Amino acid sequence: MVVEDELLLLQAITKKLKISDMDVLSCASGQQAVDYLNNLEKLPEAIWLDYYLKDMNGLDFMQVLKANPKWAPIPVVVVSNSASPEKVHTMLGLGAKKYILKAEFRLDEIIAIIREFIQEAAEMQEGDTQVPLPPPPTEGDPQ
Amino acid sequence: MPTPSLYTRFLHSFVTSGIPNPGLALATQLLVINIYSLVTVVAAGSFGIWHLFHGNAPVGSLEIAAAVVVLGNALLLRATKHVNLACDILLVSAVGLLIVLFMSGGFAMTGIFWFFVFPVAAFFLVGRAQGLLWIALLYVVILLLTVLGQLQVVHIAYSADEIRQLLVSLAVVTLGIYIYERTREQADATAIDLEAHMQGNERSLHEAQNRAEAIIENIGEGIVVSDGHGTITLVNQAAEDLLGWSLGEMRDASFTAHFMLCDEVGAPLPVARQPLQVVLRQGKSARQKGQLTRKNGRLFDTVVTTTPIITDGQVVGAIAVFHDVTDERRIERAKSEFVTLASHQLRTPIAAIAWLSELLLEDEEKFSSEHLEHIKQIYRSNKRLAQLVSQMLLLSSVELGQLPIQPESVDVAALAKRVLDGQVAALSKSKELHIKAHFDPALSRVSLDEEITKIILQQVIGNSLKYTPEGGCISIELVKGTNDFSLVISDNGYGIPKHQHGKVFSKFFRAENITSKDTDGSGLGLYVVKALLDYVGGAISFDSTEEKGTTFVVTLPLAGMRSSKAEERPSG
Repeated sequence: MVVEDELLLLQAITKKLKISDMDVLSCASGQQAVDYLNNLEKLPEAIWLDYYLKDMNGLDFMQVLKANPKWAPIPVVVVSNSASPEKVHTMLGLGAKKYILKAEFRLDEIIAIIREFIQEAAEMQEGDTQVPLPPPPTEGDPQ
Repeated sequence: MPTPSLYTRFLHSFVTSGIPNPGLALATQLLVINIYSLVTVVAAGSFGIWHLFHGNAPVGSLEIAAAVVVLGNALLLRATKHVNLACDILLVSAVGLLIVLFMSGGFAMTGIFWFFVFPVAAFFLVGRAQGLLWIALLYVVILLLTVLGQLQVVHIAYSADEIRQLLVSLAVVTLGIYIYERTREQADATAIDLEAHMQGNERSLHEAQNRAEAIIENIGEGIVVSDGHGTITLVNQAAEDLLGWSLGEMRDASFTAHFMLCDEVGAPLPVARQPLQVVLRQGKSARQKGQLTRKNGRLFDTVVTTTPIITDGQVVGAIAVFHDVTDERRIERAKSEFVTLASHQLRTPIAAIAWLSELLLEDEEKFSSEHLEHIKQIYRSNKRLAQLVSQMLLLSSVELGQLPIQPESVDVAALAKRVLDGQVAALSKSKELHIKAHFDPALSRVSLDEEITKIILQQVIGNSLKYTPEGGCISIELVKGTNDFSLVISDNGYGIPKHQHGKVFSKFFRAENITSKDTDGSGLGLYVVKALLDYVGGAISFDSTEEKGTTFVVTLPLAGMRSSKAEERPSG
């Protein structure tokens, strides 16, 4: 599930996820995401969350998410425009797996990160030992 | 002062002949007149009476006559206060008396004493020039009498030899007194000159002081002056107005009572970092931003420039100059907030361009090579834009003092290696560079903000790789010093032209020799690095020769970075 209120970005992300062979649920607002969560039969395996949404901020969304025991285990990756240490700290403290700055990461890099977390979550559910986190991707351009 | 006793008053009156408030010179004269007169009256009177009793009528009566004249003269002086007349009469009488002694052999006993006292008295009474005349008169009279004695007209009690000895001795004494008097006069003259000179100096000093005080008092900036111990000695009107305390309240109190600089959030800085303390201790000027507290408790933004007062190599005080920069700060903050806001807004379209270009490149096969090239260039330009926005955001947070510094124990060598590897990986695959790295094994962990250190290293290392052409050599060293450690990076790349060295750390500067080469850059990189290093207490320097290469040295304290929790300042 992708929660991002900038439509242009939402489109790009959705397209990329689709061609990367992933099912995408696009939400343009926090409320929309919550509605989906309430009504879906199958919960998403991961959530791509923008921090500044039109109707609420990432903090509120996280709290709603974690308040519900069914939704709490879903890995959340925060992908935002701004990242002050306080924000990052708070979000990670609330259970987000990673806090990423949009301008610094390519789509495929972000997707790779999400895949890792999905993998990890699946293995945890099966009771296996936790997969160690991958090292952060090095900055690079395609030339 | 207790009223002088009758005796003292009598003595005083006697010595000064009743003349009120004589100056030093006059008083001396009067003293000599009165003492000389007193002694003469007593001596001549006694000897006169003695001679009369012993049948020596002529000598006796002459001596008594002399005594009477001298006494009368003294009384006359008391009455008329004509000092000069009294001197002359006294001297005439003295000459007369000496002639009597000369004629009667009175020099045998104490009389000779009078003979030699005469020149002294003459000098004191009528000064050098006239004194000489009186002595000459005595001389002439004695010579005359001697001649008359030779001619048997009068009878002299002394032989020619004795008379000669007498006259020679008189001449010697006179000469002695004369020299003494001249020396004393010169010394007096010098003393008077000196005193006048000193008074002149004192006056100039007072004038200068008054001028300085007038200037200080009227300057629009607040001025606080302290002595070597931090006690406030002077405060001008502007400072009183700005701080709310009066000079009386601030003077003689320690600066810790009324002049404590506070940080962004109004907490007073520790005493060791207070402007006056810093300058008193280090003896060097300092400039600090912060806030000051008014008497009513309100804070205002300020910039304090403090200078030491040094005399003979010792720091004896300090002067702090400050003014209210609230308005300037407000404008600065508004500008910075605008930059921050604009930068955040810019990041959305930047992310959009980046990701959409990425998507386009997924479908490589659908484009001609020319189109692909364009897309790649769009992607690269956008990357530059993203970097510029990041840098501007970083800069504005540093300038606002809002960049938090969160030090943790960092393995510097490992971080440098990571950054180096990252930068090398980002290089074009076709660019081969020979890289040599040496990390001082003595340098282990330092308390640093990892993110800030990473940004600094990335920029400096990245620059070196970027501005060295294919086949070049780079050498990176981490060196541990006594109180700090340095990253020294050298390359044999394009170098920076000497005449542009001064501009290297300025905003948007790119050297002329690389704008034509195939490199791009915002020109903000080193400006940001320098701003960050200033912010965290480090330093940067470089040397470079065009076409030969460049060496940059980044230094950070071994004590590490001080933690800073920049919080949003409440507005208003």
